[in-house]
Amino acid sequence: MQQLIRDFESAQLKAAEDVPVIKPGDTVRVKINLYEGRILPVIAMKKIQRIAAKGKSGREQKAERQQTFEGTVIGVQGSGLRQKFTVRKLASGVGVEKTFFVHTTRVAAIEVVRRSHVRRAKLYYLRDRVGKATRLREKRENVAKVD
Amino acid sequence: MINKIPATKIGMTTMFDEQGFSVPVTLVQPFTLVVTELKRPEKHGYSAVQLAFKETLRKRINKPQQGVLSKAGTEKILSKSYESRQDEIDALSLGQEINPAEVIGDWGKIKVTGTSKGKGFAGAVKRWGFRGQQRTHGDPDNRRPMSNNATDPARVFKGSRRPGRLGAKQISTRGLKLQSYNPELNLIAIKGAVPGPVGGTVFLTLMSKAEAK
Repeated sequence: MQQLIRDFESAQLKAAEDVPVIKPGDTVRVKINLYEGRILPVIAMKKIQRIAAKGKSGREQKAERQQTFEGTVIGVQGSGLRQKFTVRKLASGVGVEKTFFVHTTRVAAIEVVRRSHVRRAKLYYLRDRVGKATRLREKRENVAKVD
Repeated sequence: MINKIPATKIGMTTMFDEQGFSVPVTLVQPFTLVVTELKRPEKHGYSAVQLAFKETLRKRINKPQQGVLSKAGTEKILSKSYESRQDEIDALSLGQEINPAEVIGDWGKIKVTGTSKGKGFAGAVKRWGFRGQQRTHGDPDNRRPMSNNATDPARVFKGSRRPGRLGAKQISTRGLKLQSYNPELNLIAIKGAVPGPVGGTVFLTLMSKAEAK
């Protein structure tokens, strides 16, 4: 039965080549798919029927947009289907953190821009620092090894 | 076609919906069904279809069950039977095999019935949600049921909330939604939790429109 659950989960995983190895301290660029509203298919169908009944066929659902979020990975939680990573960046002087599931369709692509030398699994200490203190030493030679 | 199917509870996991949001789901594996009898209003007083499931060895079933199976004309040895109450039974024939995946295609809200996990002899705090007593200031025992009723009748009223056997009872969770079906693994994903232990048998029933509201 545990094997059945594992099979069910592995069927939903993204292909290994689409998912880079993400580690704390990495600077990543995450492309996020944005869907208009949280419309479930059943409701969407009813909406389409209602619009059709009114004769307003011109109203269409907006196409999905993509957004990019670039920042430092301050932690990776979980594994497999439930693996999540937290990205922190400074937006107009305010610290912003977003946590993503690695294998969800919301995350269209993950690009590792830079890897850094860190000695912690969770870089929460970056939250208390500003400016120059948030710099991390780049990990040059290991970039080739990982890729 | 059929509005009630049996399944084995496999366990809970996560999946992503169309928009990539994570959804907690329970996986259940439905059984292949065989029609063993059609109950008609003129003969039995009501309309239903009797179905058998769960393959086993010939020596494990008794003579009456063997009779039911041979009357239906099926090769399979099935140990369990149940009835699905419904009006449309003319499309079905004795011995017909039914793949539950074809049945659940247009199901909306469902009711999941199972036998809850047995908790044994449980105290009033676990069984009835009593608050217990304070844990500090020298309280010797802080999960006692305390006063329950008036003392004047000099007896305990029936149905009082006392410690006793908890769980291992039939429980239905209503208004659950089917999230997906995986044909390769024959797994149904139901959004939310369903009663009973992993490996237990649960029944998925299509809720009528009146019930679903």
